[in-house]
Amino acid sequence: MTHDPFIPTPHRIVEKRQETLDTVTLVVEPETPFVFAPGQFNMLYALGRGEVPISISGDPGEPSRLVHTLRAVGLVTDALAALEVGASLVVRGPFGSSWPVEEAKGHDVLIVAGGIGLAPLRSTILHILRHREDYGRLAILYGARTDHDLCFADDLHEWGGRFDVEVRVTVDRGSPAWRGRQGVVTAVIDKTDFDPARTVAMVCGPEVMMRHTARALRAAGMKDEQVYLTLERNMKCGIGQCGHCQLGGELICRDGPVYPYPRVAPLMRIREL
Amino acid sequence: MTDLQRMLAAHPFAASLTDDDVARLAELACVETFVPNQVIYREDEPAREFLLLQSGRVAVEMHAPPGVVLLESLDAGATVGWSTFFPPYTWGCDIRAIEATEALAIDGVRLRPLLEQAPDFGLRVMRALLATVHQRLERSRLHRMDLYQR
Repeated sequence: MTHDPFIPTPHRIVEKRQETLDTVTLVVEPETPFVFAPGQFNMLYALGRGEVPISISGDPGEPSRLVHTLRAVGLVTDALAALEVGASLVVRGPFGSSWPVEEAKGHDVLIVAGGIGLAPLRSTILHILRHREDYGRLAILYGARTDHDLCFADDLHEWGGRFDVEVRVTVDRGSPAWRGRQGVVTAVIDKTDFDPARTVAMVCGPEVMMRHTARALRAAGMKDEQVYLTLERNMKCGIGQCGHCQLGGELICRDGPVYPYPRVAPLMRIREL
Repeated sequence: MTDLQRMLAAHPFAASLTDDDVARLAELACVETFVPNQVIYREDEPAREFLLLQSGRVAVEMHAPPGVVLLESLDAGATVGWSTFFPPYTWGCDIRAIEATEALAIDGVRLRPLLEQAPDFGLRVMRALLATVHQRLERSRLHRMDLYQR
């Protein structure tokens, strides 16, 4: 049985992890496997509050567990973040385009994430690790506001401990106990071991960070065509009907959220959009 | 090529310098090592040299009572110590080794008159310095935006 993206389906929360002060991961176990591609999102419904688009942060190879990571920043996400194990999480999806995991086969993969932007990329990382032999080098560059704002800290430790993954974490402002890097995530690109000619970069974070990352990748020798990023707008229907998430000629919920950079770069430069 | 010249030539600072420039700078260079937590430069003290980091990591810090504010960390490939090029030739902030760090230290006191005497060489060194300043200024601007809170 497939999930009808038009029908909100309630699932019982079986696990909740507090990633940071304002960010939680909620895990549900659907009755039937929930098949999705890395980078896709679901609409999550907080009863009586509304619906929001949230990226799926779990392993696509484990469709019996549906994982979302969200930051409490408004009415709906506050309500969702307050849900506890046993509560009902209403899900509609999956929607949107996915990270180019097929196109990236045989290439090095460079993941660049900022803040909560690691969530939509986590599903890609888990996919690549599950199919590790299909890919070349894997580097994960992650920037956060402080060391207390690092999402998926356990994952980062685990990935960083592998011999076949390069992990570089940097924070804007470290606590006195922080011994790692301090600075913007673009500053670690030129410290990373990758072959620009055979690399696919996947970037997610605030738009200004993605623009500067794309610029730094170009300076490192990559072509814009090798760079993919994910955009976010006011998604409502999830199926390209309502037009709320329109950006120029793009309906991000349907045509995105993941795009090759050259396709959206001109739109990202238009200040009125 | 000497070992010092090879180390210098491999550093990003030297990317646009000629072999002769590298040889000139190497005559003013020596290898220095720093242990974790060692204060390398202290604010307001005379700036006599600059560092081309080879390995390890250093912190750029500012004393702000009651503590110290970590402004930025710099890894191998970074250039540290621009104050040696500009009056009043004193450090603008503290530099502390976070990890065991190795660097090429270039004598700024002896370099400064050479930049004046050989303007072509001086221009290329200043361009290299400007490139690193430009890169760090861009990063500082991004840093100031507090990106992830938006």
